[in-house]
Amino acid sequence: MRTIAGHLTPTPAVPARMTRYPRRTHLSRRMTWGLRGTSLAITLALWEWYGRSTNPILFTYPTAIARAALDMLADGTLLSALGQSLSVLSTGFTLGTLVGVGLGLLAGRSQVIAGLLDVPVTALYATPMVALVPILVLWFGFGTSAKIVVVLLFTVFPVLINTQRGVREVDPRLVEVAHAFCSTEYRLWTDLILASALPFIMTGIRLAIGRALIAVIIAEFYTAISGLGYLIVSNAHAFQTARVFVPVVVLMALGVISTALLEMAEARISRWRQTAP
Amino acid sequence: MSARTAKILLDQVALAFGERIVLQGVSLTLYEHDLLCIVGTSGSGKTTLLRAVAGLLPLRSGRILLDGAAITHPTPRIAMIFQHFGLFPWKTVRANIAYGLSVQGRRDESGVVTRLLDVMGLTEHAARYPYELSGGMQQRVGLARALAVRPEVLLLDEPFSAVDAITREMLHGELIRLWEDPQRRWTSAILVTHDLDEAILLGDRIVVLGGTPGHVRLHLEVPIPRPRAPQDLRFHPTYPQLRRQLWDALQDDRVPHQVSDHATLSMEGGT
Repeated sequence: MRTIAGHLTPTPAVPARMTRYPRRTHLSRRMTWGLRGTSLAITLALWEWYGRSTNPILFTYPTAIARAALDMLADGTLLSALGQSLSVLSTGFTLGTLVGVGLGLLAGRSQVIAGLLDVPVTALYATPMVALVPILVLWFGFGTSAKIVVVLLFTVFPVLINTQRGVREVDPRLVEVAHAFCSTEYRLWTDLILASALPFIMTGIRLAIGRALIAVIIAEFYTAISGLGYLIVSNAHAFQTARVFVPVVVLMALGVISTALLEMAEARISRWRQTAP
Repeated sequence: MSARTAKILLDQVALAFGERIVLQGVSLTLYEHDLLCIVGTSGSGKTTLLRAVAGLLPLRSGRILLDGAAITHPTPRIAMIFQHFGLFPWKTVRANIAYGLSVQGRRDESGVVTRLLDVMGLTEHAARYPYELSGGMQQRVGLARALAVRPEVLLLDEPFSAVDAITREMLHGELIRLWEDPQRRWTSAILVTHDLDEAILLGDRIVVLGGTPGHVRLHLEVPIPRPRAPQDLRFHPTYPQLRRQLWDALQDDRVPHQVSDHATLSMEGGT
């Protein structure tokens, strides 16, 4: 009976492979976006309803912020402030990433450099960077260069630490494969070390972006006041609460957009990974 | 046999990890048109020996010569196939096969990569990444990558021990087919294995390594004529005696180290 039943089962391999196990992330793209939109709409509606019933000096609501944003766009204050902040952000962030990747690659490959960098990197990464801003002002003044240094210091460490780890994680067996095929040191870097450290570098950069945004605002608060930080402080002093929220929303959007862009880049780069979508 | 030309000559080779001597006094010759299998228990130093032949390890003493010249660094004339496949996970199948050529700054003028994709049945997987392939297919990529550089000597380090038994037999058939291809350029190969049947099936000669430090314990010719077929191997009249000889040479390794009762039992169980 058993054998007969066994024979009747049509080629077990095929149904087994077709079996779909319930997965946690089984929502369709549309569904996911629908849920996100719903949550946003509910939040905004509640905020609007509650905000309208409060004192406009202490709190505000979405439509008031939108109106303030239009005003600030029309008189040019928002765009010029955004331009100032973005130029500090991009310069400091690019420099920080370059220094971080460079030092990270060196430290990952050379035990001597790793040993030299170990204590200062660990100490500085653990220090709340805000505490250093007054000293940086002493050294670099109140101008743009001080702001760039603040952003650089905020970004460099996560990039450096992750890059170094990525280089360390290179599979030594693949290094042997490269040697067996007579790879030059240069090709060892391009074929193997950079390729396998890249996902780690991307993670470091993604962490650094959030910190860079914090750094810009801190720099704009504590050095010569400028950019989006200036808009926040000056409008807060003038009790223009709706106008305070405009740069805050812009910063939020900057963070969300840059992180999303980086995640897309990461997914593209790690197509060869089993865990990639 | 004495008329054969030596391709690779190992002369009193000793290898060490730090102070620990792994192999001592190993003298072997690999001829042209010769497939030499090295068997030994784990830790007998057979993989270490192969890495030294590849120029990946410095010798403690002795010499390894390729056509009379000492091997001190990896050379494009020798290609290696790894137990762990050693594929680059971020390179496609095609890029992995082309790796050796590209890293040696050579152009694929005759379309070797495309031909090897075809020979290995990988054409439709050319754009895939290693994680998408089965173990057997990954090792086919490893074989193709080694053959693509058109080496004179192929070194195979337990190439089939990480795949399942059925795939292993299929890959044996494939290696025999490659070996018997009259167009091939590689004339000699060393295959390291711990599978006695694999050694008998594939080797022209078999060397057993054993002892601490490791040395050549047995050296024998496989009298089974080619072409060989995996399924007929066990019916060849010399097979039982060959296998017994190899087994005994491997066992020699263990007896002195084990408590007598236990050793007798495992000997009986094994034979």
